[in-house]
Amino acid sequence: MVLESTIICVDNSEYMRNGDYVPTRLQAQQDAVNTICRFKLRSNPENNVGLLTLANTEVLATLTTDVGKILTSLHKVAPNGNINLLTGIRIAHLALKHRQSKNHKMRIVVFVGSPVEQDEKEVIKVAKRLKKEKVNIDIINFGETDDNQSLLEQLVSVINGREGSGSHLVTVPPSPHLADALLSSPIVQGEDGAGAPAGFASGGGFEFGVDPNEDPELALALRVSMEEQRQRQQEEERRVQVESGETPMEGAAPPAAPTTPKPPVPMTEGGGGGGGPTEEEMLQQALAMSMEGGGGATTEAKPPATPVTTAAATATAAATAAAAGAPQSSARSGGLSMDFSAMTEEEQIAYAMQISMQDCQPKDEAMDVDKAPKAPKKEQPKKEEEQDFSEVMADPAFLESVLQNLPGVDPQSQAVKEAVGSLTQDKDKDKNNKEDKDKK
Amino acid sequence: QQSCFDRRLRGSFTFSYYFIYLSTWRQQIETRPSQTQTTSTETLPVNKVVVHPLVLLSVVDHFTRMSKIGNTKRVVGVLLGSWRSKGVLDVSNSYAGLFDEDDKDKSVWYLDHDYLENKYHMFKKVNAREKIVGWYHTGPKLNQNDIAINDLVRRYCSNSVLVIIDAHASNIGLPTEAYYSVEEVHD
Repeated sequence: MVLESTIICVDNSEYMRNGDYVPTRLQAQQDAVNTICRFKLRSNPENNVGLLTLANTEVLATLTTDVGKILTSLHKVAPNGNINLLTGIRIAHLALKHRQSKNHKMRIVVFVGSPVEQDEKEVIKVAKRLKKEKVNIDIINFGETDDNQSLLEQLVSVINGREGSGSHLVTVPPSPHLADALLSSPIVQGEDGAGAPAGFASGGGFEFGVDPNEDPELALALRVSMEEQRQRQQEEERRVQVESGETPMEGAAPPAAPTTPKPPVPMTEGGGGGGGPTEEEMLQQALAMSMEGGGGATTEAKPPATPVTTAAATATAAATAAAAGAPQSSARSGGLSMDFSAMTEEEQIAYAMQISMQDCQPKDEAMDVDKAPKAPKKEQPKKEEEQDFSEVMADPAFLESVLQNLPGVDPQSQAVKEAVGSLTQDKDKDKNNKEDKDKK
Repeated sequence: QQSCFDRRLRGSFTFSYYFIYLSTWRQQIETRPSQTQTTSTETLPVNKVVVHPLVLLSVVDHFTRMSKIGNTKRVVGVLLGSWRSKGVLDVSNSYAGLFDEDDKDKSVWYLDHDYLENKYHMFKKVNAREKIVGWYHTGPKLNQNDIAINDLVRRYCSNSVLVIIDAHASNIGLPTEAYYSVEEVHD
């Protein structure tokens, strides 16, 4: 992301009528200029680009950030006369001297497609002057490559000096793809190899499925939100690892964060998107209430804290198109948790059961079936014994849901099924015994 | 006074542009320079240029401002005005432009036309009647690349007039000289 002002010098001599680059050298040049222009302006929004013709040296467009202006003046270029390379470079340098921000680095991109009839000494003089003024130059040698090769090489090497590598010479042989050849060249790649994004050349597969040309702001916003989301996930995982030593119960709530798919995470974490609370949130709410009802150990305080803090985190998330619904729902879930503390324990349990019954529709996932009975089941043991984790742990349905949430455990695997099955059988036996006793 | 520049192009014709000196009148003081060639100037679209005092002040201010930061070279700007009557040009306002040229190589010069265009649009908002009528520089003499610069200004005004305004104080005579470019074809 170099802050740079670039002047692009196009060759509009009579040699540009030649058709060895498809369709004509001039057209190929125009495509290449388009590519370079877009790349420069996208790599840093504050970059400037200008345009100049070499044959009748004239500044077509002064340094601007508007691609449209460059393109309109580019299309007015017609082949005319012979190029005067050194005058063009000098004028480009003058124009760069009067750029608006002195922070910008100076760069000249020159397209040379006709024989350069200049004295070698003059060329070296100009090169030395540019080197002194710290101007980088990129030369694209096409068309009459053989004639100009040595001269241009000399020019670039003098400017580069001993250690510098800011200036490049690219020689493109006749082919239909002048613009494509540039994409893989150091001109577009930049000095550290961080060049055009992967899908750029193909023109089809853009990042995020949004064309940065058509909607740069949206693309930028999506990129920023992805970065933030990644950071938040990393923090979550770090916190999870700290707390994971405490109780297995916590396995339910925090793993919900890493395992859910990436873009919808801000929505499912703190609260459902748009409509009613999702299964995850209901589970967390139920857990939270059960924790609050239990009171006591500090480890219990953390799981309710995590759903609430994740809700708060999503509430403060930067406004992106995707997360528009999240702040609303997270605020609502935050409000709900406040109400819960006000309600008595019994009311909370009743409310939890109500919610889980309401939105619980028969789906294919075993999860849902487990959750609905799980909530009341869990509350019952809570009622009877305050901190009887062992009994809740023994509940096979709950165990299965926990296992499903844990990453790397496949609840469908044979071993797990057998273990759960054995537990269920025992539980059923106990239940039957209990009912018989009650009847009696 | 005439200045004649030859520009030989390949081909059978040679073009030469030269500037014809026009008589300039100031609003209060009327003096008629004796060298005016009235015969040739009457065939031009412009034969009299009236320069308002505001323009003189702006140009001198521009020049002084530039010399304060160490730039003693000439400054260039655009003239705004309107046509008072047939052949008489009223220059009522002006603004400075960004201009730079190489001392040694006269063909290397840079005038930011984008900036000039934008500024003209802003001026047009406050006074729609003032149009671009030409350009000025502080000379003090005509330069080699004046014709090329004139071509650039001609993009915005077909009958572009060059006024050389001498910024160095001199109480003798007028500080202004107006020129109009004429295309001449000769074999």
